[in-house]
Amino acid sequence: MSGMILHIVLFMVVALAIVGLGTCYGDAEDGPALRNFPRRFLMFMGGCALLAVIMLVLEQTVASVH
Amino acid sequence: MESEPSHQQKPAPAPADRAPPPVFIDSGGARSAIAPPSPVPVRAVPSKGGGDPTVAGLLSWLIPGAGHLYLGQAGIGLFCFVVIQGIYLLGLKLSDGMGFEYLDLELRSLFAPALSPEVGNLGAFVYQMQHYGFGPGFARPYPEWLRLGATLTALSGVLNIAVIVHAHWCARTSIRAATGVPAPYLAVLATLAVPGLGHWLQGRRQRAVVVFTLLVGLFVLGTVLAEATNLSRERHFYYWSGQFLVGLPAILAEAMWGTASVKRDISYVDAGLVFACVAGMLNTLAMIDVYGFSESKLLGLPLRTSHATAKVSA
Repeated sequence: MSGMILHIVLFMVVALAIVGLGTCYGDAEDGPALRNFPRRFLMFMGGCALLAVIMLVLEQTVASVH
Repeated sequence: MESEPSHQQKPAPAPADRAPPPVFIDSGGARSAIAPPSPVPVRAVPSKGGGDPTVAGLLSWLIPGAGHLYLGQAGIGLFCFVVIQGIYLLGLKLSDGMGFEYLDLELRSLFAPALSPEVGNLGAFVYQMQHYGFGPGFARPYPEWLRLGATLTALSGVLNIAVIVHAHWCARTSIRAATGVPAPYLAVLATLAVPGLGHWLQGRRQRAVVVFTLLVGLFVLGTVLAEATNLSRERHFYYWSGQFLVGLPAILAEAMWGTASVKRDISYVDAGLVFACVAGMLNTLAMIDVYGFSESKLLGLPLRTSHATAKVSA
């Protein structure tokens, strides 16, 4: 369990950099960029979580090796 | 969430001749008022630079300085050629042309080395592939200075990016810089050297600190997780290519801890490799950001905003 938490934390760290740079690129001015960051970060994490769920479902169903 | 209206939603800006004229510096060093910079977005017609930007950029990619020769800037062209090719040649001599022999046998193919930083200096890269390639096909001892040599050839390729940007910009316009706004090629070069430095030179200090912290922090975390094994080009050829774009922090780290030996299983080596590589790749986004900002300021183009993008897509 602690390994999984560590993986999630590491993923959040790299997501922070990806979304942070993406936000900087998206808005040339600091104000809008900072305001947009939380929404972008949540959307990124939500999207990744959804993708993970889809992959897990597929792994347990059509792609199951059991 | 509704955001504040940006300047794109305001009424049409005043004509350029009514705005307070900023001071621009052209290629000859003369001061002139050509177009007002942002935040008042006026699409000014840039003064011509004297050639096709795409041709100038492509020529510089093939042979550093050739783009400048095409534009009639023989002095700058010669300087770029001597410096960039000199670094590559020195790297080739030190490494005895064995830089690509780092690649494992199963990874050797025609296009495999094209994912290395050397490809930024295409002419020299092709020369190396033609004359040295992957070596004789069997393992042989590495020369003493191979690490430094391979780093220099990679550095030559990365530095040539700034030369390409410079040639491209010179072909587009004669504007070179304005008060408080560095030229795009200078901003790109600074970002190549240290993530965030280009933003700092542009006066965007908060953003500079954020970019530096995120990218250098990610690189350091990756290096810690991989216990510095990511700093060896021999071990991780492609990941190394990505992290090399972090610039001086990566070069310094490699100089200090690049010979770390592996004595046990490293639990998070994969995560570390990815983190360090992603940090370098994201620095390219920072380079595009500083280029776009300087370009907008110098040419009087509107600044990029997500609000404007949303408006266009709507």
